Amino acid sequence: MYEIVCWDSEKRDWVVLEKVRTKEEAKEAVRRLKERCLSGDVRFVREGFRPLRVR
Amino acid sequence: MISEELFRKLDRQAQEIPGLKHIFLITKDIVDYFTDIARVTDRVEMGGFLLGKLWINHSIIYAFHDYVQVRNVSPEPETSYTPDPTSKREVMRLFKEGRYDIGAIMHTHPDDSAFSSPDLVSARFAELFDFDALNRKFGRWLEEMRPGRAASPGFLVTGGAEPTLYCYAYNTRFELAAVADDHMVKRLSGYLVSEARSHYEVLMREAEIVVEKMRKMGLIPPDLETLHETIMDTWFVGIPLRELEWLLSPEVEVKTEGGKGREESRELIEELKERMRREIERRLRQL
Repeated sequence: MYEIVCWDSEKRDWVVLEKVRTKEEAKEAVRRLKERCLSGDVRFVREGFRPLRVR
Repeated sequence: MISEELFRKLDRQAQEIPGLKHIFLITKDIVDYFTDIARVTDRVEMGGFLLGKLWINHSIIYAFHDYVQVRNVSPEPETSYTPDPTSKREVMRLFKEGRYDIGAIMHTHPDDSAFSSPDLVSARFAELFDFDALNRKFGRWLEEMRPGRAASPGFLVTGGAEPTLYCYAYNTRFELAAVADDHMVKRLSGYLVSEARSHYEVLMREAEIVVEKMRKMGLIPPDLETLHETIMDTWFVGIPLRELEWLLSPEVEVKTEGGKGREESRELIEELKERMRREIERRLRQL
């Protein structure tokens, strides 16, 4: 199970937008949800994991 | 092939940065391997060892130019990587025989998640070298490479929406250098506590859960104090693989007057990108 997460610049944290089952679905969801994420930084992670924003 | 001249140049440049002693260098072959393995990682974590040579003067340069992919024998390969111990023994034999000086653990995540605390611990205690063989090769007692003293880098490649290379080391400020033919990309490590505060806090908060989970998996977990200490004293570099490949590609050229054009141009491009990124961040915060 993958979580599609969006970087919330105000909260300075990742917010979960959606959950999907496969990596292919996750990649598709990232493309689809880009516009719903204000920062435009959408990633996918396994449940319980989080990305790191690199400078 | 990494030239003596390149080692000397890196060494000279490192001397201008106070406190910098360790340079982890990777070749274009390694970067290409990272890109390929990021693409194919799905469901389970993959990994292996990077292998290379040491070059010691003012700085200690760990030049990784080769790799071996190693089976993941973790009881939960979907969320962790444990290299097959048989392969590790074989690699240790290569160090003893002097075919390589040094190794490092690398592994992948199928998604965009960054390094976990077990990733940091496994790199810290990996000690992939043979101290006696190094002493024989360099003809002196290498105090700086004594077990427990040597820097032990770990590499993580993520295969998510933004494939990224992370390099991390315990208690060691370092520079990551990627080289291709006649050009090079360098990144100075940042301290996890200050450079990625939110990730640091997540790792610290979840340390107890991690120890408990490892115990349930039948693994021998580090004690909580060691885990906290490791997280607190981590230095790291993170660089998107696309950016790294682009900066290393021969096509990237900006024409400038004068002879030193290429390298200065690359530095200029990196600086401009950095400024743009900071400006975007600033504007987003204002929204």
